[in-house]
Amino acid sequence: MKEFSASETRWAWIFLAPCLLGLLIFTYLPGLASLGLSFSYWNFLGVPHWVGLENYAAVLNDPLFWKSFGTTCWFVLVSGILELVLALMLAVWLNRAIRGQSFFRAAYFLPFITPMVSVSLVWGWLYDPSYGLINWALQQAHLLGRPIPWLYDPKTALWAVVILRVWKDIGYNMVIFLAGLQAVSPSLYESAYLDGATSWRVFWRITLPMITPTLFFVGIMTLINGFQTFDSVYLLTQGGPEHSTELLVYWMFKNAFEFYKIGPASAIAYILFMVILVLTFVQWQLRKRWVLYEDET
Amino acid sequence: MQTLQKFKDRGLGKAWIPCCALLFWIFLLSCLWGCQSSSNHQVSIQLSTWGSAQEIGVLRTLLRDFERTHPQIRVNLVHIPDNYYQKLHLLVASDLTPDVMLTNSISFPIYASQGVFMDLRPLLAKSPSGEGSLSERQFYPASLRAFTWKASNGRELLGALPRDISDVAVFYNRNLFQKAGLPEPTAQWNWDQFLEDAKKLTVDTNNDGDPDQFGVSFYSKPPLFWLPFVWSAGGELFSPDLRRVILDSPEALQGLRFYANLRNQWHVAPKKVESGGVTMSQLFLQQKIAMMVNGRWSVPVLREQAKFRWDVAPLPIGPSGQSRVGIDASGYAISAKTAHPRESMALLRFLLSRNAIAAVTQSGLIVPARRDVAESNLYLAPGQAPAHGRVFLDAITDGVPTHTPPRWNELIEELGLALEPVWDGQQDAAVAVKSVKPKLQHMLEIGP
Repeated sequence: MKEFSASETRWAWIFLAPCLLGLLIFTYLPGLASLGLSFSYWNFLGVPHWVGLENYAAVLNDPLFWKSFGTTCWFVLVSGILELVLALMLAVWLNRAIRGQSFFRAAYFLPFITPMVSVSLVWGWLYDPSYGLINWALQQAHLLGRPIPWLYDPKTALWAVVILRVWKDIGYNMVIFLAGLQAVSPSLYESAYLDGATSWRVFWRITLPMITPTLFFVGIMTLINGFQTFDSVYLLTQGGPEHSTELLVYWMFKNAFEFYKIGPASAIAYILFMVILVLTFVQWQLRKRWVLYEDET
Repeated sequence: MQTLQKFKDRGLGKAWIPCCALLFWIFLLSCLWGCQSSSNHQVSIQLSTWGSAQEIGVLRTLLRDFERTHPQIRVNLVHIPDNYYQKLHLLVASDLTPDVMLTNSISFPIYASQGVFMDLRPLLAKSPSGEGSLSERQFYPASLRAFTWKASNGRELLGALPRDISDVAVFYNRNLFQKAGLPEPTAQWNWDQFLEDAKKLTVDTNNDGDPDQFGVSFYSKPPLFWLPFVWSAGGELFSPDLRRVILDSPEALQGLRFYANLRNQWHVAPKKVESGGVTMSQLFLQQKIAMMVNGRWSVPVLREQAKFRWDVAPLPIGPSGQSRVGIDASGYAISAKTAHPRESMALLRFLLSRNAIAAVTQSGLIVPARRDVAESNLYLAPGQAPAHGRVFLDAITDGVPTHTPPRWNELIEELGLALEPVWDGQQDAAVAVKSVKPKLQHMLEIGP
């Protein structure tokens, strides 16, 4: 890459300044402020005062925090696995020369670019026990006697949120997987088939190892996005029924903007930050064991 | 690149870079400055309010009148249709508290306890007498009590003046009562008659074993829908000094059980699965529930959309011998930090004037807190449904004025969670209340 001259560097900074300023004012400063607030008592109306680690202690002693944390982990795990597996299956299928290939690719990608607000409203009605299309279809097909209460039963509500997330995000993961699949050299497949390998074996021994860098990237992004899920819960269930869909970010929002407990809410934010950081770090460390980089071989 | 080369050839060298940067920054900064409006001799005050498009239409017309009669004052309307208090909290936190704000009595203690509102009593005393004067005597006492805050030093503060009173009544479908051969409810009806009627109004029209028409609505939250049953049974949520949770008294538990049984034991109210995403108002409009417990705010929609005859009745008399509902209120408060107290008070006086309250009342939306409007045909609207609109006024006498601790939102979340299994018929009220009581008690004790 060409080295920049001193004056070019200076102008680059001047052009970048507005963007950096925005990042500083709207991302880094609030992040820093909430770190400070996580050690303070504040209810928006009075003056914040220092309480040390009290907020962290209160949050970690709150059974609802742990329930919410457990729910979030379950949600991230189940929806993450479903997303990865289904997106990979779709990508492998759509990587072949089939009829309507571009139509299907577009169709599966469409939910990802549709705003969550409209999607959630529509899914809210799809899930409706008495008027919803899903229950109607299942009953028409005689798969169900009674309608599934979906959003209105603690046993099914989280599944409803999982299904919505998988449906919405699968297209994005599929596109990334497709890009990974297309980068695999056809000569590898040719020689494998010449040696008489079955498609199944080719998938496990060639396709999968060759796309591990993609899998790694998609895995990390799915994990982070999963932990940060908020909008679907806010719009569909508001954390209910009986806290069954109280994901951590939504619980944090409730603490801040419904109970006006900024201190504990900021503490939750930083605990979540640490959790994501540690999990990402672990994934990063483990990648050497299973991710295959071509330039390393 | 060719263009760039041309610039360079003309000897401009690298001068184009600073030029671009300069233009770029001028553009950016002018965008920012453009947001600020130019100031003139007028005093500008902010008024924050919630409300539907129709309500805002009425308010804007009123504000135009105000600005005509007060040419030196300009009112900036801050309309917050949803999540009103979240936004208001942020405005207060950013030191941008609106000069005049609409608040309800449930959220009132949060702000009053933090000194956000100005004490209106001294300002009222200075109010001009004669035509258009404003005094406490003009309002229902319960609505004033809802906006009175007792500070820890014992000083009392009147933090807002009431615009309207929100209490609940039973809206009923007269056609369905007639079809079932039932006499319409009177002010004397009690829980037994209410239940008998609800049972007869619950009908399985297509004989599939599940009712398609229910006797009565069911809301698990907010508490204003189930608290009347606790109160009418003789129970209470908190002790009068807000220090103790007493929802575990036998009377309160009886109220909770009666309400839960409407849905579970007698099944005269729809379960969650049966109503799904449809609101009780929609079910009532579709004639799928015959009685709906709701507030005055339902009236405009019903007048417009109901394809049947309907009326209102008080909530039935409970075992305590009384029918008691919550008396919440909405009213206007002035920021303690306003730079324009005189202008703000002028606006407040105007918004609570007989004419302004009459204009808001005529849509049918509110029960005015001003007695002269409430007791007139402006509110009672003869010839229009509901014929017994007076029910909302009569309920004020025996009603329970709002009495919420500052941590109300959190308390209600916790209590609502504990009661969910009760409303679903999976737990007895006594068990649920016992399990949640220590937590609620703790929230009362730690204060705001």
